[in-house]
Amino acid sequence: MERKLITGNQAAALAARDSGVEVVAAYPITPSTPVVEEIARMVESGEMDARLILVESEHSAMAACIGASASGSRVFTATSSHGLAYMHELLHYAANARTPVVMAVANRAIGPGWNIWADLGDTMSQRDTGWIQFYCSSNQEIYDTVVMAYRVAEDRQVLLPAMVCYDGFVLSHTAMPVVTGIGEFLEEYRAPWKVDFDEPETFGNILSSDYYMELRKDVFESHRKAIRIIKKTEEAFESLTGRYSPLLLEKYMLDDAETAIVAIGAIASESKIAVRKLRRDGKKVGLLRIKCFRPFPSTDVVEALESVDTAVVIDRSISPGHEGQLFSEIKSALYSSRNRPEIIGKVAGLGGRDVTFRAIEKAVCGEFRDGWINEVVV
Amino acid sequence: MKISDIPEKEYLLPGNAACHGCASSMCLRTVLKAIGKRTVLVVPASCTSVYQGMFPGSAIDVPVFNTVFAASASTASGIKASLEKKGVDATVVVWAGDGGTYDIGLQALSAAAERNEDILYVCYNNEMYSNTGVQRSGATPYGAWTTTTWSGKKEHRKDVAEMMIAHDIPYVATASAGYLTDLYKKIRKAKNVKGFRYVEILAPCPPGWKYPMDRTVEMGRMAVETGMWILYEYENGEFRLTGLSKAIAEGKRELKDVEEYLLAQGRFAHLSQKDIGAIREYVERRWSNLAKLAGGVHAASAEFYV
Amino acid sequence: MVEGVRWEIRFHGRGGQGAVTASLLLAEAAFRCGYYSQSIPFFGAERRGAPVLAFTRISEEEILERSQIYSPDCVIVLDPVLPGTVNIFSGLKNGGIAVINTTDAPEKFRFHQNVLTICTVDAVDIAIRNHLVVSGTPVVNIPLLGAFLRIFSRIPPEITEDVIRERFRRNWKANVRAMWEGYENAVIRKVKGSGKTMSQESKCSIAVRVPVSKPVKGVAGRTSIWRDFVPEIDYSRCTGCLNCWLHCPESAVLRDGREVRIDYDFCKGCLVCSSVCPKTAISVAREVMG
Repeated sequence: MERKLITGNQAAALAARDSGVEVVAAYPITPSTPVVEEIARMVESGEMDARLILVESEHSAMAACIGASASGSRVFTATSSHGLAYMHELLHYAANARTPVVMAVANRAIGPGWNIWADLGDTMSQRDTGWIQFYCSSNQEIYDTVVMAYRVAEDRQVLLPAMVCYDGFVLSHTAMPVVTGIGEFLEEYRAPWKVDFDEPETFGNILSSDYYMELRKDVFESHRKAIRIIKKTEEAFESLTGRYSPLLLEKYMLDDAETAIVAIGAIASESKIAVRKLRRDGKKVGLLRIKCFRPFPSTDVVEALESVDTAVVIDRSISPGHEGQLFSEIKSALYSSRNRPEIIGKVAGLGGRDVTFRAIEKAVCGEFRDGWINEVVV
Repeated sequence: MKISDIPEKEYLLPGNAACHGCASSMCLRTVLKAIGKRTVLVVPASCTSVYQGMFPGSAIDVPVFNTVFAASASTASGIKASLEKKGVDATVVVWAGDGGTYDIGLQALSAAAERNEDILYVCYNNEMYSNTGVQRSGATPYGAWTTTTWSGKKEHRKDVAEMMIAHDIPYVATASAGYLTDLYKKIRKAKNVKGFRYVEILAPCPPGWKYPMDRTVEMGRMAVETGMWILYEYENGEFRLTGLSKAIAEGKRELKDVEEYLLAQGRFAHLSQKDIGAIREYVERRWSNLAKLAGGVHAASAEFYV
Repeated sequence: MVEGVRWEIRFHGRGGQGAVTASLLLAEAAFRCGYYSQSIPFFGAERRGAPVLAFTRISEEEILERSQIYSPDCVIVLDPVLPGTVNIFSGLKNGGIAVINTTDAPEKFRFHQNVLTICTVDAVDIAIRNHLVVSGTPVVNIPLLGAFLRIFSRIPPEITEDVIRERFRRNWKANVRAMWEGYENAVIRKVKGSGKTMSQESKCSIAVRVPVSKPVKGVAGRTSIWRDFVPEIDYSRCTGCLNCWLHCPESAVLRDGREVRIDYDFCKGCLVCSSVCPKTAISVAREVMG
């Protein structure tokens, strides 16, 4: 175990190295570029024993990752924003192909106009591709989550690709102390399909309507099973490394809370300060942080929010024509609950607009009535 | 080389779903025989993704990985990297149509060629999008009817094999469904070259070109006989015409007029004499371009075409 | 218009024979006669030659169904070989109609219904005589449509003639001729069947995890049913040059050293073997059912 001050991108790259990644295929895009640069440096210096394919686009990056994963290697890539959007077709492909690719995504807004800053809209708009999605709140978490993501994704009951998402610049370029080292946490990857010349098989030919629905149903069921695997992985990681890194969700001062802030990503970390401040003012406020957005931990969300009167959900993304995606999911999860709290949705921080704990505090106290936290409260 | 030298073993199994008289399945049979058992075939969306058959069966008896339309060269790069990392010896072969090569897959192809990935990329060029029901591609010749060029295509085709020469990869070759032993030899040679290799096969398509299905081989030969398709190899920086194209360039065989070839196909049935003239000029221009590449003994080949 | 008219027709064909076009032409003709109509092409993934289905609904009332037809009033069978391989009578209503492209007599067909009206016509012959052959496949849809119109009197053949004329601008004369030949040469008989009840097959589902398939001979079925013409080797003229073996797109010319024979289970009858034989030792005959 080693402790050093590194950026979120460096944490992702080191986690890929420490996870024993064998093939990386990637293409640069701000703000995830340093992940690829760091991996290239480590591969060239011999620090990382992997094949690095420097492709000409994100579309090709994901295609190469799927090919490499299907033929037996543990693979990794990183991207952001337009790059992720360009991969879209292959994100679906990776899920149906059951290739447990792990990808770091430094979240960034999509143009026009060009905006390189934090916005979860890039990954939120890929939520239906079948990928597992984790959203991190710190650099330590980025490191730990990449490692744990392999264990979840490669579990035979899961076999799904996973995105490890973190707010661009806010985490990707910000240096923080991170403890690295994973000991024997990961075993060697054994693919469910391999290249065999004596008993050759054809991967991914036509699947008629007699079978396609079964394939999709299996993807769906595997997501459900992943919830349990995620909980087990979180426990196993803690017992092996001594580090607790929430993988499904995190409850903060929620036990006796009357009001819950529900947040995701970097804003969830900032929200903890707002909780503390409001508690000091005598308000019973807590935080529910959603770490895993797909599979969505509905049962745990209901359990966590059933006893509060009000839930204020903060999204760093928006689904035009409806509302923030997290807001939708929280409402949907609580629909069948008998003790449904009042649920209020707020949108904040799009395109990198800074979100301060003071702004969150004000939002919890009933300001920003139109749902847009569009003021940087200092 | 004799036909009997080609292995009996079949890797494309009978009872596949290819159309009657399909040149793609015909050539894939030969290509797989030439490479043998340790082949990993990468297939983008194309006729081959259909004629290999439906889950849970497959007509292809080597490992096959089906991938998306635009990404065969990059998928193959990933597979090759992974197999190398695992110490598995295999020839990774892309088997793509002209749509997946000339158009949507060109970016990935060019990049893989530039990285000199250890891949054999084979394009079976039927000069259109056959799988989706005959639409124009970048490989469709001038004047050809397709369902997106009802009155005939207005532009000449581009030439990806020549683009691959410009990438200066270790091996480039053209072949035709009309000459399967030549194809076999070129694939055998390509198999043993390290680095990125590109072989393009002219693969006539009976329903798309509109000729009777038993004439596939004849169409493949006529294309070469009339100079519409030119057989050559580019190896370690050296260009040479091969087979009948070489004989034509050396004046040992006479070049036939393109009209005979064009009028044998329904897709050209509407052509005027002016259109045919434009195609003649195009053929002449291509010969002279390639003659420049050939230099030396073939330098005169520009003049023989009159 | 007669009250309560509602007809469901299922077309059985192979890719290239024109089943989808026939379904559409029939729907168009019915539409022009004032009916609501619907034409559903069922696109499988296969190429030319593979079995395909198409459906036509004709009704006095608005048609709300968007699903396929399982209990048709009529089946139109474009392929002369299909009756031996798929159950063309599946789900056909008792007393219903089957229009079949065949050289056989109506009485030769066996089915589970009590009674059916069987209408036969040699549409391959009509297609060949009218030069309706595309890429080597006789296009038999129009003569069969003509035969169907003999039974289905609600659509005057003249209306269908108009529809054909507009659809086949270049080649309409041959098609109209083919329609009338089908109309006139149709042989119609009421035929008794076994009267046994047949259970409708329902599809069961299996779990699919990683979408991986195993190599198998005949992945597209016994592809010999795609055949319109049969190649035959005259061994007295065969020199063992192996050109037929090398060029077969199907791997359906089997080779043992220099000896060749045709695998008739999978030969699709493309006749490339015949065209590349330097000794013209491979002759061609028309495929017959049986």
